[in-house]
Amino acid sequence: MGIGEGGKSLVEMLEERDRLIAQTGYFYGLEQLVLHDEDPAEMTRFNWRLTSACVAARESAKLLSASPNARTVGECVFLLMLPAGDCVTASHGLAGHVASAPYQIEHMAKLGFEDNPGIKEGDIFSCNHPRYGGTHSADNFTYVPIFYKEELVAWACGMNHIAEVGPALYSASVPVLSPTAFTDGFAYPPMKTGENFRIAKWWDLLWTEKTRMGTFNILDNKMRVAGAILIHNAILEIIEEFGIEYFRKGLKEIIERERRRIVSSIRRQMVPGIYKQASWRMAQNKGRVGPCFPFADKDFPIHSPFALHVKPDCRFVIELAGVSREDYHSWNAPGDGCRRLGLAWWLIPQFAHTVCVNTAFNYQLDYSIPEGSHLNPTNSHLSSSIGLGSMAALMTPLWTACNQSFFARGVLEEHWNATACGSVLEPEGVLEVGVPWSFSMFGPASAWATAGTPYKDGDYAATCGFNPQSDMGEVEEWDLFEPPLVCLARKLIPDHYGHGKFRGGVGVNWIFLVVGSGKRLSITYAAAGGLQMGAQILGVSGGYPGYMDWTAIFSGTNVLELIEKGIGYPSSFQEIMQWIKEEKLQVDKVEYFSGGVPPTELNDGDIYVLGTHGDAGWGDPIKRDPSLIERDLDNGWMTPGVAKEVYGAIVQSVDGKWEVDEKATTQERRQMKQRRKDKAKPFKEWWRQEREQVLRKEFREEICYIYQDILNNEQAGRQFREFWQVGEDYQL
Amino acid sequence: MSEVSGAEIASKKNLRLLMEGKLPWEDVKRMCRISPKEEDRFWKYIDILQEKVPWKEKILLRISDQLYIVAKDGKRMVKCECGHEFGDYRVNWKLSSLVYVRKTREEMDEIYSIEIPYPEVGLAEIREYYCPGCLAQLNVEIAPPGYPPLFEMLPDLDAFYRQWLGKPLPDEHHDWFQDKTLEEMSGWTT
Repeated sequence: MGIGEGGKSLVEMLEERDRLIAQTGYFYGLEQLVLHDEDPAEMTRFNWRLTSACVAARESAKLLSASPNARTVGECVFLLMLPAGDCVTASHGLAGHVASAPYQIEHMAKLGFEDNPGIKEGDIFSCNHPRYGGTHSADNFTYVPIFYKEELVAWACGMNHIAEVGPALYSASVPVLSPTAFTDGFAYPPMKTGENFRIAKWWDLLWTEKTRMGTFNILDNKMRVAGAILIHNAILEIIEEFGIEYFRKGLKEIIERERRRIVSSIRRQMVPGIYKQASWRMAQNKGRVGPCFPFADKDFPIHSPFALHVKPDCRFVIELAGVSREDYHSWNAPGDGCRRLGLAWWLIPQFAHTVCVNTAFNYQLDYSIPEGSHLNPTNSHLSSSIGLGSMAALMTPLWTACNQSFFARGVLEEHWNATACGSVLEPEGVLEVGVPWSFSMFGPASAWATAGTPYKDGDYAATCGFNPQSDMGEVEEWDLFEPPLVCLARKLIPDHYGHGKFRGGVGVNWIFLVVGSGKRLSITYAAAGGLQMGAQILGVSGGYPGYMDWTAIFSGTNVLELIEKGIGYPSSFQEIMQWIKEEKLQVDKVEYFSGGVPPTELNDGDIYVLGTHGDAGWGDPIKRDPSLIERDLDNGWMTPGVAKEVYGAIVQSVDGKWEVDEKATTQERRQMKQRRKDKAKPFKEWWRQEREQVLRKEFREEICYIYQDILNNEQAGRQFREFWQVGEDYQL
Repeated sequence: MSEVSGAEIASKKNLRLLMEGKLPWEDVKRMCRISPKEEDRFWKYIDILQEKVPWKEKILLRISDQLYIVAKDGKRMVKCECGHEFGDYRVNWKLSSLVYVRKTREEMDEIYSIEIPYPEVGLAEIREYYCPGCLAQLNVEIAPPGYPPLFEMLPDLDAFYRQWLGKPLPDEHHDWFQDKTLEEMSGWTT
């Protein structure tokens, strides 16, 4: 006897769902939306009650958290799910994570949780493991079953990104330096962590012993549990009001209605066909993982080419052939929960513009990924601490693909793109009084720039693809939780964007001064941007790609002395460089990093500069409207040199305002076109020269690694060999 | 949850302003709220584009700021706004372009102002594709050396016109929807 409707078990409910979808094409076979048709107003009221329960739970429960990541930056979400796991609706916050939750319920079902450890009223379940439907250790999901008259009628779930997960090599919530599964930190499969609506004592102790920030993590857990219980209680009231039959049927109708909305958007905004894109990044392990892991002590290029098929029946199929192999880095993505999350991040901003964020889109999307690749690994000993980031790396090129389709269709207003950035600043140390501390600062991950569009420039510090309610946080809060790091400035960086007729959003510098480093201070930057191989977003229609993340660390400066003397401090990267040139700022050592920063010791007076975002452009830069160039110059977002060199604009300053000389600019742009003609060559000629290099196999080791995986894949290898006409036996 | 109608805000006049980057932001947001998008959007768009280009061939689809797929003499071909023709739309148009590749830091200096985050030399290069007719910069790629250029978009025109728009193209045929790029390149080594 199962715990579901009519005595069905969880597995039987899953089978029923899948069978009805396969047979009819409709969620649970719902060809007619009866409740919607009979009384739309009542259905709307019902829907809002459910969504409000989730929103109210989040807004109340997040006050229990001590972490600004949950309270201010918005890295948490609360959801209502069907007994078989599909998300019906959710609060504001980390919307994409709804895509993973169903897979955790599915694992509990298939692991026989109804029998052992049992699922009953008041139980609390938790999971964060990517192999069991989780995403990565930082994303912790907490479930409370909702029973009505001894029948499981729904699940309430709270989820948030915690601030430290206890990885082996350094303090982090996003451990990008983790060579094996056993250095990932505290990753746990689904387990019962409480009964009778009470959290088990041993669960608190585990957080204390397995992570560096037990207190914060215990409070985050209380937040998730409290929010889930609030939803549980609200749902029981709603069932009493609407009746259990209406409730059961209504939840399913909401998901089917949203699926139809997505179908409708695809049909009105896109063009069927095949869209090809790719992403590259580097797992920067070399010299960073230590002598205990010689097999992981190299940089691993991670390549994910894909073909997005937009089918005439409005389904998406993503075909990944030739993706990089699984290996000893952090970017392996096991499990559908992990993979679906990255894809939800793509779909939600572009298609799911409704009151109900749910998992309806899971039924419009299929993918095929070669087994043994980093996106479908077979070795369970490999790390997966940021595997979701590998799948998320697809979302930016997927947005690019969809934007092309929107543009072709004339739906320009829906064009939206941004470099997917989950980058987190992760300092830790020991205060002078002997207290160890650490924290993950989510600011850079929560305020991305956006790319240029066909009708306007990109925005700066404006958005976060996976979190519609993101915020870069309050400087004062970050200062409070990271005592030795005093934020000197958050400033836009001139020229720091991909150029274009409509340029990308301007990048941001975060500048920190180290004061009171205590007995020890170390900082890591877990970058998830372009990483060493170029920006994630290709420019569109002739616009240039944007910037990768970068860091500059100025050690042994005299800035504390300058402040004490009342001279002040530099507040931008350019000003730092200028002060050094003028010998006003003395510096013992400067270190530059492209992409991530490995754990690096800092001392009082050191200055840490992070450069991030600065997104891709749209259209040929020499078609940019002169008035936009004048505006950028006046705002200090563009320098006169770039205006001339990239945009062909001849400018002068008149009474403190910049003016473009349109006649001279027309002439300059004509000359730029002539220079293009002089330096470019016909494609065929370029192809012949490049082919020689391919035949000589003159590639860096990292590039050979990429091509080996392409050549070992039947489909991708055939296309590569035929393109370069190098013969069927060509290998690297 | 009610649907937003687009008949008024998504007028041809406003669409033209949007395409020119001149539609006020508040109106752009109102257009964003149209759900689903109005049924005749594509036809309004094509009308505006057809008025804009200096040639007469029928536009089947716009695929970038400057490039269009047009019907001409029983063929479906890619054509630049300037009039330059790139050939069969089933072949990656980049094969008929001019290409310039930035490989060194000095070459990248011209377009990036801060040196630290450049792609490492030998790991990635920046490819610029120009129209041989008007020298417009049509596309920019970052790719590892030796990486075949992306064929970014191969539309299924017949499925689009028949099944989604309800107006089949006169030359509809099942052969149209296929990638002919590699076929086009056969014999390039000789």
